[in-house]
Amino acid sequence: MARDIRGAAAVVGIGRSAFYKHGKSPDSEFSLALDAILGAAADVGIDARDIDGFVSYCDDRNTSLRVLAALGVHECRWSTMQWGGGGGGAAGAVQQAAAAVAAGYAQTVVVYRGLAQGQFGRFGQSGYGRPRGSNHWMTYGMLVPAHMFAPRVNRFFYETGVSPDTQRAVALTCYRHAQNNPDAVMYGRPLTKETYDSARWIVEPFRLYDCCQENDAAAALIVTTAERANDLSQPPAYVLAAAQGTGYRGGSAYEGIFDGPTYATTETGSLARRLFAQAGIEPSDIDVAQFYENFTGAVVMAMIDHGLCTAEEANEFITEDNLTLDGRLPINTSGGNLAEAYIHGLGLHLEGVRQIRGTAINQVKNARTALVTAGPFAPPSSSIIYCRERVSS
Amino acid sequence: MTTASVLPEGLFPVIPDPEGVDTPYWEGTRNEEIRIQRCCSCQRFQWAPEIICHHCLARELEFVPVRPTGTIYSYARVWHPVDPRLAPACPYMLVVVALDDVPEIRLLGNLVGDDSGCDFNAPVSAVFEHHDDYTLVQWRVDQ
Repeated sequence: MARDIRGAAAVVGIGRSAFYKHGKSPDSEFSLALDAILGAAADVGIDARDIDGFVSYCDDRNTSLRVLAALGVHECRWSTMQWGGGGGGAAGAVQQAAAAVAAGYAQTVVVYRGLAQGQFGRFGQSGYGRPRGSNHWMTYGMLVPAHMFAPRVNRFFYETGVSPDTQRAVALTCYRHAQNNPDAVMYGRPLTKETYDSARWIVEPFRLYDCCQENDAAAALIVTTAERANDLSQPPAYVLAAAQGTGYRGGSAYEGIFDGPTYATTETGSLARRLFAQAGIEPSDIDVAQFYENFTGAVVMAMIDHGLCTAEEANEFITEDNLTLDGRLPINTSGGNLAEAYIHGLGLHLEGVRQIRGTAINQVKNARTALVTAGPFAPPSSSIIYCRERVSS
Repeated sequence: MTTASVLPEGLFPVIPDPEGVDTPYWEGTRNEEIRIQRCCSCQRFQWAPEIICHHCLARELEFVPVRPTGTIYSYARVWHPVDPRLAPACPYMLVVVALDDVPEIRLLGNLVGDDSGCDFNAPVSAVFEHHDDYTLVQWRVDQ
């Protein structure tokens, strides 16, 4: 009988640095990453030197070799990085850690992401691809993710009839949740409909508040086996299912690919089908979701790609009331990338784990399942479902 | 040999592919021709150019001229100058154009001239924007 990885691993520790506006961290990026890793270890009462696996994504500059040397790690047994220069790998990184411990290759794996965008520049300003000659997108002024994704979102609105106003609901929801979160960068800075509507265009259909922040911040999660998780100090958030990938010709603008049949999607439909098939639950069974908001339009599309509503239902379903705590599907309950902190989506995983533990500031009552998605339009993308109940094997 | 360009001259010049995969394309635009890569085996087109056909995995590929016309598959108007040198050009329009001869092929470009007619499926014609070292394909909405 095939070994079932469903629920075989769990997140048992979470940690983070302080959150800063971009360029405002007094400490280096590596220092922030260490804050997060040490915080995650302390959260679950593990000696950081006993971490034996290291996973990151997004070409993280804080290499596992520097981390494990700095921490005096006794023995490293696992060290991997998800392909892709965007935030698509956040859930895939946790998936790798889960696979490593479930297979027995390592026992205590840390997933981490640190960035000091003031120290090293940022996605929104510098672009982050490798301009191969035929990929002359930079020459046409397609410089940053907002430029690459906007035509896809515009095409989506055109094809489906979904209203661009759904983007406003996502932005207002994130800011509303952040007002209860003293750690959020946008705490104390509520966003009104009027302010949203009067904000300047960045690139249509994205106004200022449709775009994620850029921050100096770091986050980390400790992953171990479900068996061992039961003996540790924190309630486990089991990895019920995880999936990564992209569809046919789902390359991206970074590879000069504009001809994919799923151009007007987030390229997460295929992985979402695998995700729910592995989980053995339906999208309607999701109690709370953390959707990676590089841009609000991407959240709207990812909700549809993950089956949480159809395009036909979107205009009625995607409202601030429905997405806020006590609504039909609370999302981004800590404020998310838009209003809490942008750690290339790893902060969303911390919030997913807090919801499963029951310790979130905006806690969804009796949350048993939490969906967390990673960078839409940034393939290979990834998604994960955490759950509270241990899966019987 | 230069013409008025949509974006400031010399901002992000074309860097030819170091593997030479796109050389025939750039030779074509110099001659005001759009040449798209086609597989010598299965005769199907692909873009961006690669060293292998993604339809049949044959390695022998050629570049074939296509009509310089198409329709707008999608677009986005850029307002914020990410690079301050772009400020004089903002707002500018990014367009993704489906070629009339090969609708499954989509080319990225900018829109030249009046953008009030820019819409999904609007017919467009190529405008060849000559720079010192390369020629870009841009697009104008047909009147």
